[in-house]
Amino acid sequence: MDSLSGAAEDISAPGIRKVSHVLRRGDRSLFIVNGAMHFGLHAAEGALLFVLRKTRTALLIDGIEKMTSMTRLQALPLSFCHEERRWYRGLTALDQTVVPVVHPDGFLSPEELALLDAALLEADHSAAEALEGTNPAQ
Amino acid sequence: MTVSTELELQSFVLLRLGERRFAVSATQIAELVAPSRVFRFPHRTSKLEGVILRRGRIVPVCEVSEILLGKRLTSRRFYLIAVRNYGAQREWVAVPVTGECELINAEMMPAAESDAPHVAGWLSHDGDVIEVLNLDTLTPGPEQALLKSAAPQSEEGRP
Repeated sequence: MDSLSGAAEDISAPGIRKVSHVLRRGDRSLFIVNGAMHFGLHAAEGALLFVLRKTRTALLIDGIEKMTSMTRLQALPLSFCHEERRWYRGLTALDQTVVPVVHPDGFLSPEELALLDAALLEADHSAAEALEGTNPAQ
Repeated sequence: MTVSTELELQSFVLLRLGERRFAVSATQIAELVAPSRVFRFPHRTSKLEGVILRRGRIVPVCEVSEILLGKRLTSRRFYLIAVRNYGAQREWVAVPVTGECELINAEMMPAAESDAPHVAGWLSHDGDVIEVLNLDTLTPGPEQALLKSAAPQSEEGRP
């Protein structure tokens, strides 16, 4: 986050603890999702940010283990029947290891995006009001 | 006509969990394999330990001892790979067992209404009365998720 400290703004939406910062890029806002919190893992600070293509999500991760290509994606077995069905596109086997393949749209649901947009709008509104309050012309 | 003449001999696989034995219809069993590495990743489905890799297929490992025995068993000797129905779809699931399995022929008495949903029936073998398991209700699947989400205090409802 250090390298983004100038660009990322704080954001707080009720019930969405995994998003605490937003990144503005022109007229677009990218919500920074803490990957560890999203998956319910031990909360980590995160060192790298992945901007996920065609989404409004930037994913904060600990590091990159390796980059590779997969040849086969197996659907998530139907025994997995909760939130993870939204999180993962499926599973793949790489070097005799099973790795889940995430769904880029699975980090923020439409409802969560709506809440974050509302929080962003409110923050902008408050900032505009504060600016007006400090305007010497008034 | 007596009850016994109405029943038919069927094949079952007897499996051991701790001190108890259970049966599963042999038609549902794909194979019995030695324990292999369980791959774990984040998910929210309880009673699901992770997945194993078997003949290029990724098979979920379903932990059933807590429901059947009331305690979780960590030791395991084999994985019984069985076919689980999800409506029209069928998939493999791996059930950890703690002892040898045995193939037997027996007559199954159908389950009563008062039996737990995971009981498909009962059979008598070697002087024991053994539960025949219904894996479709014992192992997790979308239908359990729907039931849980309908419950007012579901696990997923907790913060």
